[in-house]
Amino acid sequence: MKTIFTLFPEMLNLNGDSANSFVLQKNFEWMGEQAQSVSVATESQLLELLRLVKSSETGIFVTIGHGSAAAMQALAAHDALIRDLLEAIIESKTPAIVVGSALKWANVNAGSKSDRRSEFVVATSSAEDWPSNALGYLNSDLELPPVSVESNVILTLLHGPFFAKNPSWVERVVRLMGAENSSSESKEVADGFVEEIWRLEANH
Amino acid sequence: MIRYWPALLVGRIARILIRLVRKGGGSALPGLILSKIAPGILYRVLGSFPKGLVIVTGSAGKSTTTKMLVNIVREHGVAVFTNPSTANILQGFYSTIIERANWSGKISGQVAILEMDEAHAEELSRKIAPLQVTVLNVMEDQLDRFVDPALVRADLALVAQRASGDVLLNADDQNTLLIANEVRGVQPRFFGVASKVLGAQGRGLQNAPTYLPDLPRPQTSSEVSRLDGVRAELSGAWGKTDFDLPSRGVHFALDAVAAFESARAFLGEGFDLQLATKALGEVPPVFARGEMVQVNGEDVEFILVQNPGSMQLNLDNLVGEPEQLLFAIGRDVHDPSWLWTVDYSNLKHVDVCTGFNAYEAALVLHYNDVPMGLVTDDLERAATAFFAMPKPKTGHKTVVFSADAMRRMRRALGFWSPEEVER
Repeated sequence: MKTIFTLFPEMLNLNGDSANSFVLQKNFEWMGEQAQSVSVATESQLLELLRLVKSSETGIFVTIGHGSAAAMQALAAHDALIRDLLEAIIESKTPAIVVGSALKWANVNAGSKSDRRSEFVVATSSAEDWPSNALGYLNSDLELPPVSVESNVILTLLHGPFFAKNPSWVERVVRLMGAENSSSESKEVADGFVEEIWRLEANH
Repeated sequence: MIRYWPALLVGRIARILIRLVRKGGGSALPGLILSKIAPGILYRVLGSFPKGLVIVTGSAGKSTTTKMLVNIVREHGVAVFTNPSTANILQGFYSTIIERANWSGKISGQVAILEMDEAHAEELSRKIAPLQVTVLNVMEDQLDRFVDPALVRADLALVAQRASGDVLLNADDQNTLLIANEVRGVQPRFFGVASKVLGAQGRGLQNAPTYLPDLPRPQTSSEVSRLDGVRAELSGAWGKTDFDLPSRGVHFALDAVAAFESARAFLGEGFDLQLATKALGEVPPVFARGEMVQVNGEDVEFILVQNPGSMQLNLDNLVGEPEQLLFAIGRDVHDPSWLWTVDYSNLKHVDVCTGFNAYEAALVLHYNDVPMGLVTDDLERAATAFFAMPKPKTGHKTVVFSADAMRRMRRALGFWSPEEVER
């Protein structure tokens, strides 16, 4: 059984990023693999997840989405614990995705700001073994690359949700979680829509 | 004194020329031209109404609330100038001026009651202090423009602070209660929905969470005390009244009570309960808010969705299982990510999925196991296929669309007269 943990799925979902776990779970379902989504929304659940990550548990994935200013303020009490968790995730090479305002918990310089960009972008990534580009909606003034990878953690400013529009990244994550990618009619239908989205948005 | 007739002439010629080329078009560009060559005309026009300017703003419900408020005030014999429901940004106001102003740049009427987009209300109220402001709600809406609900709340607080008369606020949105704390010099009046009515709604009113300890609900002057289908009852210290809403849904009941209380504030002692009830009961559905139209001789329900909140409320309020449904998400949805925050479990199937964002919509529906028929970004082809389907055995055809898809579809169907969007 694969397990996808989502931190504060209600609060860190301003731009729909919690659906990254839904998309990942659905892809497992389409390939006949059992997967479950687990919400992490209390301190004890954060501590339990930290324990799992530190024990290098395989078959798990962690998603942390972008939250509103109000949500980020409300979660400030958990800042230290979430930072510890992300550090452990990076160290243990646990696959994860961190989006938008949640990058403040990752060890990246999210302090610098530039002019806000609100547009679809095709971002390039030079991370070895990962796809070379990704499509998503950039709505940020953070001076960071739209997508990068540290250890097995996808650090991105792209909404969409990221996984829905970038199936090749899902395939990489599936492999990291110890499963084999396989095709299905449902996946082919989804891939067909994604192809059209790339055609429209990448040239928009 | 500045003479505005040359600028109006240029705007009117532009409007005529555009309409010759493009049937049903021609309202946006002339407004833009007028705003560039005579920006001051807007403030002159809106500052010229003897009873002042009334603003209705917030994330959702502006059109319906404004229409209801205008109906009530007009029923009391007051001449009202208002804006078409599709023209609630500054450029739209300029377009309305081209249509309505006389050559000296004036529009007849005793009061201007306008719905205003949140950001444009802030910009406009900097130059003209409104007499009265009604703030309906703050939702997670148009994040590509507004970025964060807290920024929207800050803009709306500024608008409310600038009212020289009454400020009307939603008692059931924590955001508007925070705004109430920022209003100085005026005691806000509150409208709302009784907890027993709200409790019967699965997902409430879809306001943006503040994640702060809840502020206590203030005493309302008027509230929705009962809701049964389209039948709504409003009550307060003044008594109670009931009438039929133009469409089903608690959000329409909220619009009605907001309009009712706004009218009570504006009309003061001249307010007549019977006239207000009559006016509310006679409000037809606002353009595409649960509006029933005839296409090829059959009834079609048009439902406009503009943000996660309105999408959720409208999907939750679908009656039964619509036998034939077209789902269209257009270019106005710049960032379709929010489509993934909606629960589609009430949407059992979609016959046609279309609009510029057809494939974005199709992807989210596919992931949510909603069976679909035709998927195409060619809206005309989609409309032709959908309206060629035989009449449903039960109920009527249903169209759920975003604003851009709505405009394009109406034009494709020949509903191009600008009067169709007039109040």
